[in-house]
Amino acid sequence: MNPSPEVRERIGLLSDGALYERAVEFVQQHELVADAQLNGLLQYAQEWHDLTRFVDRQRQRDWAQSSRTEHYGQFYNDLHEALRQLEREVARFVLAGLARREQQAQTAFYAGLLAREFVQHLVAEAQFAQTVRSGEQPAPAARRQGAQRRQR
Amino acid sequence: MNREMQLVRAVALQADAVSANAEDFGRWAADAITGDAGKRQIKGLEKIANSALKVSDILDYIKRQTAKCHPNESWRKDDFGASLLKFVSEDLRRRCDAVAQQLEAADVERQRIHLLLIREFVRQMAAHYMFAPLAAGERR
Repeated sequence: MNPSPEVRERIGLLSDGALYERAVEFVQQHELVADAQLNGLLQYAQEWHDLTRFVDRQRQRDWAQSSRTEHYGQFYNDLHEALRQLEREVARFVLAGLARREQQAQTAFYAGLLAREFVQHLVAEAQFAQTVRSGEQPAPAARRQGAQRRQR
Repeated sequence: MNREMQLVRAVALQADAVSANAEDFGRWAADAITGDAGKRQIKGLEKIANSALKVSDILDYIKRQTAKCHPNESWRKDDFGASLLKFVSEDLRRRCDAVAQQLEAADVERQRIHLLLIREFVRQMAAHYMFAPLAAGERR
């Protein structure tokens, strides 16, 4: 299945707009998970069914056994919701009047394309946020002033 | 002047307006991102900027490069990566919005304007990055 140039364009705009903002917001609203979890997400995000299976499996695990991972359950529950929302939103890409099976296949295809974009933004933001939350060295005052002096 | 020429001209004017910022960031990068690996990373940024179809691909690249580094090294030295991200996503975005408003651009065109602005800014920054060590040598 190949999306038309128009659909590609719409997905590109969604990716730069709503999906990017949602991913940044998602990271801001959650405690971070380990790199292995993020890498798992990236790996499974190549295919919609793989991704939803992975997220479902992770949200059913008992993360509360360790204080280090007890927030993972919330992370995966909310990610599950975010993916369901994407699935509902792809209705606008799916052609009307298709047989049920064909409609499901198209929904999975387009939801997969959007989810891949969302997960890529989420993982990049989460990895970046780890560096920020772990405490950046403050930039020397002179350098900050130098870089900003022409921005005004 | 046709639409495409108007767009290219408006982007070129905005790119000229940020040339001093590009010089600052280029020098800053030369100080922070050193060695052959550093050159490859700046080339990588240029390549991504030139080939990306989405602005977020470039922002994600800057985030990933910054996240890979140890504290106060390379992209994390003196907050370089975070500052570059902020400049590209906020300052260039504001300039893009101004051009888009001036040209009454639709969303797809607005996205293209932002991409073109980033491309031009990164191209200038990379040139200053490459030139900075030579300039520093001449000053000594």
